[in-house]
Amino acid sequence: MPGALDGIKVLEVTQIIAGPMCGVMLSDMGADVIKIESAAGDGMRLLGQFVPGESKGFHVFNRGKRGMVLNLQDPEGLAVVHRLIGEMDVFLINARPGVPDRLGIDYESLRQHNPTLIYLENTAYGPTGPSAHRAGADIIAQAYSGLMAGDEKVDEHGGPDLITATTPADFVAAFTSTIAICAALFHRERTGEGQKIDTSLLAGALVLQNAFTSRLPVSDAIMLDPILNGLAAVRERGGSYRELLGARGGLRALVGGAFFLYYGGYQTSDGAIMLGCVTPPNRNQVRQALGLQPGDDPTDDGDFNALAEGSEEIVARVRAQISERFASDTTENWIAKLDAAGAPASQVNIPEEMIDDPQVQALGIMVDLEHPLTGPERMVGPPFNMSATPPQAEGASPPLDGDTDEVLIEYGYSAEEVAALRSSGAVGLPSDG
Amino acid sequence: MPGPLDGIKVLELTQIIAGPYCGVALADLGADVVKLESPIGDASRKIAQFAPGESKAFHGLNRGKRGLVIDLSTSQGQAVAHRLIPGFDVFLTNVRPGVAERIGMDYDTLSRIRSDIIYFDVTGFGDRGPSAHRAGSDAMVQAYSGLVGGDLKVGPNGAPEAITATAPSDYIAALGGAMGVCAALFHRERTGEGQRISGTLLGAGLALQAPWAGDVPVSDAILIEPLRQMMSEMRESGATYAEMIEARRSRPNQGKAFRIYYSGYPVKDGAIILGALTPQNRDQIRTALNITDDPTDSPDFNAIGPDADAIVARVEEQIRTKLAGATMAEWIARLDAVGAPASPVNWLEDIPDDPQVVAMNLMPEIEHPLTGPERQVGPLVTMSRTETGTSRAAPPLDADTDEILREHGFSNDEIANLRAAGAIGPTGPAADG
Repeated sequence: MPGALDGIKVLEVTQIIAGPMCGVMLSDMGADVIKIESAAGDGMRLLGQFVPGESKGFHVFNRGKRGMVLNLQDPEGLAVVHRLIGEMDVFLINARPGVPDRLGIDYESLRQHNPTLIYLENTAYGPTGPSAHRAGADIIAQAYSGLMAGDEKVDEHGGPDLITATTPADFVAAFTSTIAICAALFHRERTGEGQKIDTSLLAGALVLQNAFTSRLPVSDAIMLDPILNGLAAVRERGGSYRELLGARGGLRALVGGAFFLYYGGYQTSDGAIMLGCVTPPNRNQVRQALGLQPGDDPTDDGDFNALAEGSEEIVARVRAQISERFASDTTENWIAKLDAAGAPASQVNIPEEMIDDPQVQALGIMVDLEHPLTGPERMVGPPFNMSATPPQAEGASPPLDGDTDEVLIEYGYSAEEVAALRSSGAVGLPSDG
Repeated sequence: MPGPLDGIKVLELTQIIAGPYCGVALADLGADVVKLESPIGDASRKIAQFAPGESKAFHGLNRGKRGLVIDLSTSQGQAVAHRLIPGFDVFLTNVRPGVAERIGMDYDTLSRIRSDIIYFDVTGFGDRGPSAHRAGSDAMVQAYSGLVGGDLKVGPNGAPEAITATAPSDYIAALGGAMGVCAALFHRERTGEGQRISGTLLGAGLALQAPWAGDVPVSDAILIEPLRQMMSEMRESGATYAEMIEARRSRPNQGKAFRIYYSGYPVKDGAIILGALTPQNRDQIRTALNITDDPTDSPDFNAIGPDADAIVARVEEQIRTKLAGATMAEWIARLDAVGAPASPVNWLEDIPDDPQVVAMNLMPEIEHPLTGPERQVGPLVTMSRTETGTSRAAPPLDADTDEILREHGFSNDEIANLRAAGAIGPTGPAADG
């Protein structure tokens, strides 16, 4: 079965994660994706490389694509893009602001060669505003957007510590870019119009926090304004990052403390367990599995007031009770009891071990690929399924300059033209000879 | 300017985040989204509610929609929903596995009523495998998928802590759904075919960790196998969760030198983050900090050699001392001047008034019918030919039930009868009048 984007042609000038991952998802849905790199290659090739120019990160974020090397600073190299773009449906770029214009691959330049082109540009802060020109990376967007402070991690020197389990802003930018491209393809199908799409790491990082970020005066008067006043007071007296986190945490703990009793981790006799309750029925299931008696935990009673005096002590008492129960038995036994009660709970797994997890295998989330240089590999495949147009991984990532000649010939270049471009340095890697 | 999904009608039976945010993303692209709630409403209405049934989270995750209340536990309610289906292009749901079948809202039933319907469902663990039946929520899937372990957070009692700044697998699942729906609309436009799109929180959690969850044997032999071995031995010897996290954090790895320039540091009045990804970025930072004796980017530096840890620690200490000597604003100005990626660590509570957020209009103001003006995180992307965003706030429970039923051909008498029978409209105090 062909994918939903069968026949769609994508050209990308991308690096690291946000742009490349968008290309992967378009490829998963059936698009033919060509990645353009400079002779130095995407910077991702060098992050944790295990053979020269090949890293696990690059393999994951560029599977399913063909690769070509163009020198975009050479007018002949640029001319190749302008010649290819006429037959492309989509162009992706995540360079620093201003770079596309300098290279002549900005939207206005490319649409002259293809008026119905869908052009997507991803930047750190977006195209306008006081920070538009600034350099960005996932960690920058984490810090700027509030995600990092919101995760409340402090390193041993009292400095902020980033979310290390993933690069959230990069991934969200990749997903939002893919959504917008699919919507733009739908629009083009209905109207014949192409367009330019702008996405930013900042907007993506805010979306991830939209349940907390909003300003809502009626609610904020009670819950938010005291936090803002507390932060201002600590800043005024030159308090440390840790003190700032404390000022932010106090009231939130009071309002949310009861919620986090059943939405958080506990130690068991042989490890750890995570509860994920979001509703009163969920919490009752846990209480039942733990053998808590009615009256042990009043936090879901109609008359419990999280802001009243003494509520902090009640929450602490219930937490101690829950901790004690979990510490008395193994993770496996608790999971069995909680599952039987229908309560949301999980063991805490290690990412590197997920590959062998029976549930992951049952769902077929991992795909097996063969890389031309480094052999067999298994990695995360498409994160969702479609019944009529199933997404599927198209292949491994390209070695640097892996498909330059093939792509040029497919788009009408003669073998002589390719050879001439190669010897002038407009395409391909510099020759050692 | 209409949105790219202008005229597309979406019905959602959703709760908490993964389903609802998918609806927001589609509404922002111009779709007409109707949220179907049970008579007691989406549970997120009650998480930190500031007026009865109205919470900040519900407002952020349901803006742009109209609200409809049907009691799907009654056959009369199901008949009402089935009568609405021909008028909808898309159906979204994130109810527990098995619930959709029980209440007659599964794909087979709905596609018999409208053959080209696009149906998206997201569950915790999918519809097969040993965990298919288990309840799912973001925190437990964070734990199951490895995100919690990878984030290296340990609570004061040695218990695991989830990522608290966002609900990563919920949001990615929501975005994956919006992507699938847009691609499926494109496919339907080209072929006339509808289909079912299925996602899982587990797949979303793994997609966020694609570079670590994958298995690239040639690379893993050096970098991952020793880690897997260590974790497995520690487990065997009965190590605590905190001990395992500490071992993981301090293991020798190639990334330590990278992390010097991709990390947070305290400064005089708070903290900043450096986000260098490339040797060029690191040179910019070294220039701004006047660091002249850092060998970690020279070709003969061996990141896993015997002296590496000591060298990295010395350079890190040098950076730490320099950064502690000036304020956030001073350092950001100096680092910006050389083009180096750096950011202050912002507080989410300050974000709505941030000049970049304001300049990009990332948080437009909308008016809620019950609780007044509010500012919410807006659309994911801007598009040059099709508008994105919405001016409608989240619906109060039951706000638009009558209007929507009339739109789909129900008479006033029918509506009154359904309401009297309890098939539509809320239960509780609101129904007593």
